Parts: sequence; structure tokens; C-alpha cells
Amino acid sequence: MSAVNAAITTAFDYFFAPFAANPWLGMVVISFVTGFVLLFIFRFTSNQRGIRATKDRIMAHLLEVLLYKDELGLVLRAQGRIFANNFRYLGYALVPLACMIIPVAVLLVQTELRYGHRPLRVGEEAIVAVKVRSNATSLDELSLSAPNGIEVETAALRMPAAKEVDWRIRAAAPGNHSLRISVGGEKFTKQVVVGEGSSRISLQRVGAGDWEQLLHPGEIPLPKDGAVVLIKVSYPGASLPILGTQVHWVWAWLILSMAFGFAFKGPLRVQV
Amino acid sequence: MSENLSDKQSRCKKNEPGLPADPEKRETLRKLGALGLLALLDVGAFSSCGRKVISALPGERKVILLGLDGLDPRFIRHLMSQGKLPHMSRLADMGGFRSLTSSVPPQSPVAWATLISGQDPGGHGLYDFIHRDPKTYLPYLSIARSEGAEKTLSLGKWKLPLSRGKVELLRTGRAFWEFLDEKGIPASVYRVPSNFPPRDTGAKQLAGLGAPDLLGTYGQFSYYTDGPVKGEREISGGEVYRVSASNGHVKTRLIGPENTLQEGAPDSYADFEIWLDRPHRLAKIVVQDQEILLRQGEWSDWVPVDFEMIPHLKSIGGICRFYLKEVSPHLKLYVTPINIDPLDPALPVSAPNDFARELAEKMGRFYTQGFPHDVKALRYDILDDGEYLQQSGMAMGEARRMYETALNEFQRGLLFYYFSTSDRTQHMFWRTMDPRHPAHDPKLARSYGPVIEDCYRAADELVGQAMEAADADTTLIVLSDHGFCPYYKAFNLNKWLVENGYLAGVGPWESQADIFSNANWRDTLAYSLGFNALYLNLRGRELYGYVSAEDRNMLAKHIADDLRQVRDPDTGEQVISNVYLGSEVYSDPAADRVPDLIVGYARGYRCSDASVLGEVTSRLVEDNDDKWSGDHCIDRAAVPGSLFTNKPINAESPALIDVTASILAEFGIKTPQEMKGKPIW
Repeated sequence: MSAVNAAITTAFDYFFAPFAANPWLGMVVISFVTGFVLLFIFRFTSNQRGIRATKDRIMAHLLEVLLYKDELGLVLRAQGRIFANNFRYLGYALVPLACMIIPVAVLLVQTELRYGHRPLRVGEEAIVAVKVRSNATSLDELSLSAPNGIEVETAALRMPAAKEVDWRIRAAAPGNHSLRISVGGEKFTKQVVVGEGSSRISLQRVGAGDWEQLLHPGEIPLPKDGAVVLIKVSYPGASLPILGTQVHWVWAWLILSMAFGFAFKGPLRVQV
Repeated sequence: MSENLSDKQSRCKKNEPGLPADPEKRETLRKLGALGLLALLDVGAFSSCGRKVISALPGERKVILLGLDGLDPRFIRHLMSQGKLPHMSRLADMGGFRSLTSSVPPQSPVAWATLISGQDPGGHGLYDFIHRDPKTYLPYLSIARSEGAEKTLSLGKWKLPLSRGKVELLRTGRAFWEFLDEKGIPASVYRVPSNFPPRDTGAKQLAGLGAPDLLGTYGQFSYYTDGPVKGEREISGGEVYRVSASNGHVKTRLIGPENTLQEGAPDSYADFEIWLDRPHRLAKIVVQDQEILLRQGEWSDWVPVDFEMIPHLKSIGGICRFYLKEVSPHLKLYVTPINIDPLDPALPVSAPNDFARELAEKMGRFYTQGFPHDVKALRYDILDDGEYLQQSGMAMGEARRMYETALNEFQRGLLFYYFSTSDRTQHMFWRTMDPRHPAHDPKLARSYGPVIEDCYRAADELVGQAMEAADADTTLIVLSDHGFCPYYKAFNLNKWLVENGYLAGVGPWESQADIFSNANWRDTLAYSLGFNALYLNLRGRELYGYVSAEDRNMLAKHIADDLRQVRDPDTGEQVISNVYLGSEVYSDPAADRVPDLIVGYARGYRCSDASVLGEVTSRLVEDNDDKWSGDHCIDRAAVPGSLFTNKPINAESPALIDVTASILAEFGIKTPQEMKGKPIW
């Protein structure tokens, strides 16, 4: 799982690298690719002939409703058939949707890694949270050390009920920094990115074998049986500027990829 | 001072007077959403008028008007003589420095409204911090009024409004910057009192004193503790919440504005959690999706909080700051009043509406409540002197950053910027520099004795910055609305009215009885509400009016004469140095709101807080041992304001209304007929 995650993340790193200076351009391109690829998947995994026939039948029954609106029996029967064909139409979408789930999930996770949060600016503060596996681990044993470029501002805040220890850090210099957490004889690291602009941000480092690693592929997972099960840095959320306001990347992606999808469905002769 | 009123006002708000709605504001409100009062006033989407900044042509006149609330000319002279106010001294040498005649009464909302309109209170309609409704005798805050929707549709527990609510500025008359706008002269007006909600006149305006917090009060702090609280029952201007930690974990809630979309208008709230590490003196606060880790003694930045009105459909946003006063042995967490978020204002704190957002995007979020200094938290020992000064310093810091940005961007027209810190500081710290004050503590005086002097020095720096920004074409005016005096003793005016047979009771006046529950209105001749106002119980005006129109003047003069004779039973000193008749000092004496008498207390005396709110206490004159130790709600002759300009001043005794005429004259605008002032140059 970790190797697959790493490979996919590296591939997306290459994909997004040319757009580091212009997040909007990256968003347009990824939306274009999304629209195109999903349309392509839909084209070859769906029953195109069946979809076309179903849509034709729905249209025919709609006309029937309009033409025979004075004949209640006919109208009711036509409406029932519209309803049934709608279900059939949805049924035709199930197979392509199933085929799209995995690529879409990968795409969403990878885009969130780059557009969901932004690096800490110099002078900004964040909370580093570390969760331990069991109550047997004394929270007093945990320690955090930071490299130059990151200042640890507080002592450890210990929360036994949550099996968690937090520290407040402050970004002092730009760079990709590595925090070191020690507990007992074990040592763990967590990346902290400080700088301007956008970057790939790994919000959490989670445990190996944990399904959450699918959602947090930015760093290699923590050892499976280690004392620490999660290390999290509270990065600020990111958004895309547009017309004097800010928009979350998901809205931009949704609208743009749908627009591209609809634009291509004619040339690619895809029935949706 | 009138924060006291919040509680009283909320009790009385059903009885607010039906004053005529301002058509401009109605039009503004028409554009707002349609869900509940605050929902109605969600104005974040308004667009800017988008005026371009154009540099002044050579020779084109510009005016910088710097308002420094409460700077006393005697104290200024004293410090100037010691060389402690170099910029003010230089400005006085360059142009002029005079005492400035204040308004009757010399209260900030009244005085600043006088400057804004160039008219006496008869013209601008603000006579006191507090007005009363003659049809109910109940008090209300004088600057602004808000009303919920008149028609609603009930759906289960939900109450959906079918008409729009409104918030309106009760100051009448035109602001002087409206005359500038007519001539195409741009104006920027920052934090000026008696200007909430600001009318959309073309000037860029940020509201000052009068702008409420999100709860609709002048500032309601919250305090969470698992320890004892001194005098908890008497605390006003804030709420104390008892919490208990389980395993170092506290679950509690922030109380938001009333949810007018639900039957009974219950308080809205936002849950939050506190994680405590007592040995390390740390706490983590988790509010919605935000986490704040504080050491004991630290303040958080502004934290945005949403209060849900209709689940998943409608919420109202505000901002607050947390102060972790103590973690061990007890949790003591102070939360500032929840301010209107300038990035997404739930009420119109600026005009145009996106001006507040523009400012917040430039310099970060800031206090939007008109009274940012939490004097109530200090008065009730929620914050100690040092902590209050930190809080006050943060508010001042924000205001100062905004001021510096405004000076840097000022190109032409008028820049009017107001600071309130000097007023608040003198109210709260007079006791530390005056050994005669009943609340003076020599130990505290060693630490905080110089606070007021430091405040004047800080004001001097602001003057220096304005002087630096003023070029040869710029007229610089620095003024305060009134001066300051010690507040040694509190006089219960309603008690005096009772003792002298003017105010009749249904039963005996027990300790802390109030006129609302015990007055026998049918036999009452006069009553007092507000800091200086005294009203006759006039037939045809008051609900149970007793005094006829024919007797009105005679009775008013009789009471005035009696009041001038009042002596302090302990010292024999005169308590009241002057009493003004509304019919003589105001241009519109017939209006229902006009007090019949305005009581001018002598230096050292003031109307007691209890009497201000209609309470009758057992003692007529009491020592004021409160931290609120300096004041100016007295005889205007005792508290003149201060006036500096960079042009020689010809007028010997200039008044606030003269400054208004002078500003218009600088732009070549003839003094409008309704203004009575004369240019000072």
C-alpha cells in the first residue's frame, strides 16, 4: 500500500510541478484531464446503446404526456414509464460509476494534498498533535525537537483522555523542515513546510495498515506497531482567489471538470 | 459607562419607542436577507462604491481631523510645561491651542454628534447616553435602535420572518461630510462615535461608539472558571460560567445572539472544549474546526465562531479572543465580547458595507464594537489592572495600525480618525494618580500611577504622526470632545427627588428600589434617567403626566434653584454647579426626547450609576470606591475639551459647533443655515 501511495504521489508531483507558480492553471488542467478521462471511462464502460434507447424512450413518454394531456389514463401510464426508465437509466450509470470511483478518489486525495492547505508563512503558528497507541505509554515520555527554522513555543500539553500530546510551534524560516518526536527508544519524524505560495502539504502522518493512509499519502506511514499512531500539524486551509473572493478548490474542480466533460461529450460521441 | 444599560435595555426593549424609520436605512435594509434580525442584517455581500483614489491638485485643501476622546486641556498644559508632549507643543506654536467648549451635557455621544452635525442636541437628537420613552418611562440607548421583523410565520418551533427587521441610527441631521460629498470631496471617517449604523453617504465610514457586539450590547464578556468569583451576582456587562473539568477536559459553550428564528428566541450557542494541562500551565481550546494552544497569561488571536440559527441552513458569524488567565489551581478563561466579524459583518458596521472587509483584508480582523476597552471586566475584577491594560493595548494597537494605514493612503479631501483610549484610560485609572480618590491604593499607584500620563504621551505620538502626514495644503485639527475630572462622590438624583417630594412612591423606597416598580406616576412631578437628564412628568407627553404645560417652566426653574442649593452632607461642598433648562439651551425644545433639565455636577461629583438607571438608593451622596474613578458627565464648564490646529486660531472661546463650520469653510463651503457655529480662523 505504501509503495503504491508513494508511486502515485510521485506521479502527481510530476504532473503538478509545472503549475507550482500558478495554482489556477494547475486546477484548470487537472479539471480538463478529469473531465476528459472520466468521459472516456464512461464511454467504454457503459452500455451506450442502452442509454441512448432509454433516453429516447423517456423523451417519447414525455411527448406522450404533452400530446394526450386530456386522457388521464394515458398520462398516468406514461408518467409511470418515465419513472421506470429513469431507474433503468440510473442502472446503466452504475457500472461506469463503479469504474470511476477509484480514479476519482485518487485524484481527489492527490488534489487535496496540493490545494487543501497551504504552507505556514514565516511567523505563523501551528499545533503539532501526537497520538499514542495505548494508555501504557506515558505522555511524559514524549518529546519534540525541531530544527532551525521552527521554534517550539510551549511545553507539551498532555491530554491523557485523548492519548494525545500537543505543542505549539512557530515558523521561523522557509524550508521543508523535519520535526523529531521521541518516545521511549522510538523516534518519529514529521514534515513541516514553511514558505510562500502553495506546496504539497501532508497534514497528517498516520499508522501503517491504517485505512487512513489512503487519505494521507503525503508521507510514508508510521511503523505499524510503534508507540505513535498519528502526528498532525494544523496547517492553515487554502483557497483559490477569484474575483476578489476565495473559493475552495473542490468547487472550482467540480464546475470546471463538468464543463470540460460536457464540452467533450459531443466530439467523443458519448451518451451520458 | 453606559454598558450598564445593556441589561436594563434588554429588559425594556419591548417598550422601545416607535421613532420614525430613516428612509435611507430602510432602503439599505431592503437589500438584506429575510431571516431574523441578524440574518436580515447579513450585509457582507454589499458592493463597494469603488471610488478611485485621486491625488490632490496642487493647492487643493485637505483636512486631517484627529479626535482624541477626553483629552483635558489643563492636563495637556501641565504636561506641555514639563516638555512631555513635544508634538502638541510644536502644533500649538505652529497654529493654536485652545480649550474647546463642549456640549450640554458633555457626554461623548452628545458631543461627537454635535461636532458631526454642527448643531446642538436639539438638531441632532442625542441628549444623553440614555433616553427614555415617555409612554413607558423606560430607558433605552440613545444612539441606535434595532427591531426584529414585525410579521412572522410560525412553523413548529421555527419563526420565519415575513417582513424585514431594521437597525437605525437615531442621530438626526446631516453629517458635515455629507456636504463634502455634494461637492465631490472624498471623506474617510474612522470609528467616530454616534455613527452606527453609518449612513451610506458616499464617505467611507467605520462605525465607532454605538456599534454593538454580536449580542446587541455594548460589550458582553464571558468568563469560564471552576474557581470562586468575587461578587459574582453583581457582575454586569458579562457572564460568568461555572465549569468543571473531567480528566482535564471541559465541555462548554459560547453564548451567541438570540435566535430570533425560533419561538421564544433562545440564545444561540457554539460548543467548545478546553483541554487542561495544569502542571504545565497550558490549555488547548477547540472551537468548531479551530484549535488554539495557550500558555497561562496568553491571549489568542481573533477566532471566528459561527452560531447556528437554522441547522445547516443559516448561521451568524462573530469573532472573539480568548485570554487564559489561569490554569492552576483554577481554570480562569476570559473571552472578549463576540464582535461582529469585519470580514463578514452581520450588522452594518461600515459604509459602504464592504469597507470593513477591505480594512480587515489589509490589516487583519479587529474590534468592531464601539467600546473595545473592556472596562466592565476590570470593574468586576475579571481582569486585573495589568490584564486590562493588555486588552486595551491590543485594541489601541489595532486602531493605531488602521490609523497609520489611513494616513499613508490619505490623498485628498477629509480624513477623520477617532481614538477612544484616552477617555477609557482616564475613566479607569484616575484613582491611581489621585491620592484623594476613595479608591486610591498607594501600592497600585506605584505600578499604575503614570498610566494616564503615558496615555497622553501616546496621544502626542498620534499627533506627531498626523503632523508628519500633513503637507502645506493640509489643515490639521486635533480635538477632544470634553476634558476630565475626578469622580469622588456619587449623587443619587432620584433619591433627592424622592426626599424633596418631586418623585412619589407607591410604597416606601426600600434600598435599591427603582422608579419602574415603585414610582407613583400619578403623583410624580419629576424623575431622572440618564447621566444628566431630568424630566418633568408632563401631561400629554408622559403616560401618566401630572405637570400641566402652564406649570412646566415655573416648576423646572424651581427644581433648578433647589438643585443648586444641594450640599454634600459630609463636606458641605456644592454638589451641583449648574442646571440648564432644555427650553433654553436646545434649538428644538418641544421634542419628546428633550430633557427638561440638564444637571451639571460640580467637579468631583457625578450622578450615581444607580440613579442613572432609575434606582433609588438609601444614601444621597456616597463615596465612589469603584475603579471607574474619573468622569466628565458633569457641568460642561468644568470639563472643556481641547483644540489644536496648525493654523492660528482667532476665536477666543471656540466651541464644537465652530469646528464643524471651520472644516466646511476650509473646503469653501458656506456654513449651512441649520449650523450655528462660526469658523475659528
